[in-house]
Amino acid sequence: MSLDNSTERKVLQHSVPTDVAPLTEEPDTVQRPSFMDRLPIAGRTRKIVEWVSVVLAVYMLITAVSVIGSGFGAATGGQAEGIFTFAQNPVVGLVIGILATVLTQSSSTTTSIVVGMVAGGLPLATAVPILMGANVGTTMTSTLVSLGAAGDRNQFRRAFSAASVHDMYNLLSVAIFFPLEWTFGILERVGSWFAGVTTGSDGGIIASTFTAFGNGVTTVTDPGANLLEAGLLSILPSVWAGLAMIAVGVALILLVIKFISNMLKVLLVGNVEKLFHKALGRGPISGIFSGLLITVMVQSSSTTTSLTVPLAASGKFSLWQIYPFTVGANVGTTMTAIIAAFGFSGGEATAAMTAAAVHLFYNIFSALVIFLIPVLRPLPVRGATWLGNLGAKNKLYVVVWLVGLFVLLPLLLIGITALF
Amino acid sequence: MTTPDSSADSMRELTDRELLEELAETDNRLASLQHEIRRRMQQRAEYELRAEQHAEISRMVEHLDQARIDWHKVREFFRDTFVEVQESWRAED
Repeated sequence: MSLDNSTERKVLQHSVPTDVAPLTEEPDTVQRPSFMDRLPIAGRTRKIVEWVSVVLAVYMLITAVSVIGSGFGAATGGQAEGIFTFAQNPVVGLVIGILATVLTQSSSTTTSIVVGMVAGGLPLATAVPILMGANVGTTMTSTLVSLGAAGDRNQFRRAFSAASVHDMYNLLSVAIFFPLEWTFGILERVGSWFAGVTTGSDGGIIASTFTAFGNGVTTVTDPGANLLEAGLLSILPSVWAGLAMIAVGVALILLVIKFISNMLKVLLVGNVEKLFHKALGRGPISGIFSGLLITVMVQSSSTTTSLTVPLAASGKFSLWQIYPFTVGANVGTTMTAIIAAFGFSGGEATAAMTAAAVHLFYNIFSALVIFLIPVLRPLPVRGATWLGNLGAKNKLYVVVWLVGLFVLLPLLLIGITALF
Repeated sequence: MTTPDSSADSMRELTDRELLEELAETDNRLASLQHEIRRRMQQRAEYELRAEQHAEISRMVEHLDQARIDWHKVREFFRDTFVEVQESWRAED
């Protein structure tokens, strides 16, 4: 995170606020009490139990995605393309992605669900814009986190600007890649290629390795998924059983992803800290990789991007320094969908991996295009700075931004597409 | 060691050209010294800032705890904004 922006070189004028209040009024306690605190275990035993619980949670995540896939297939009866005609308009898909992620406050949840649905028969062309929308919807979290700094105008300006970097970056990504995808289908092609390499039947070493790993995973996760499927099918008609499976799968994913993220935050906070320390002063590429690694470790881009809010609010970090972490977080969060894709085998595995790969390459391409092209790179920071200044001047701008971007604009887009 | 008087005496012995050259040299030296002072001050400020950033990162646990939505604060924010808007409308009336 070197001071490579000419405006940032005005270090001699840099003023260090010494009376920065924390974003929340809670006392300086280290960790929130968890259910682990109620167990009569401590030290190394507790660490082992915590890691085992994470592994079990990942198992449940993969099982839940598999359940969604089966449920979707059962509920749609193989007619997903016909049923989802309304979502064939990519704008509708984008809006669904935004709204679903705003509701769940987790892009990993939305993308995992989409991976499961694609495996269950949802057309990939319908899924791609939903995945793009998930990137936009998740930016709401860091914006809401920044509202905790509203008590101090300068602190709030910094916090809100930091959160808005994520908004601006993802909006710019959509602005660039949404029309490109609509016209040329680049992400679909690349995703299909990647899925072919990793899950294809050509017997190549990469495909063999991935397939063997996937088969190993499904051997463990299939029994649970099949049990649930059989149980629901025995008491409900096929379509209702499918819907119930989707509901159970979604609920499980929501709970599990939150659990995994909270546990990994506790387990890996030391490593997160080390990564930040190492990235300091090493330039933006180091910042991107650190943001990526941190997000893979905690399995939540919202955590990484929300973390930049109190750091920026402290006044010690500029937007240019936290920007690379946001970019890295976007890429790192795609790992959850990749993990989820391993819950399938055969043709379903290829479909699931294609959807996961689309999400991965969308974020990689966004990072390459926006961060490496000189004219595009400063846009998210400039936009966030402008928005932060507006928000600090009058809170109404913040409310308009939040409600407008995450609620009104999606509804307006749906209305427009319905009319035309 | 030269005294002020001897220094003035030695200057009187210089020709105009030599005086101008001495002046130019002194100007250059002054600029170099100022540049060096600014460089050291900037380096010191950068070092202090970096130390403060590391100190801030060392509070990672606290920041992780703060990196979550405080719904109470969100509600308060929306409520305060609504009150401010109402008051500004009343003021305009």
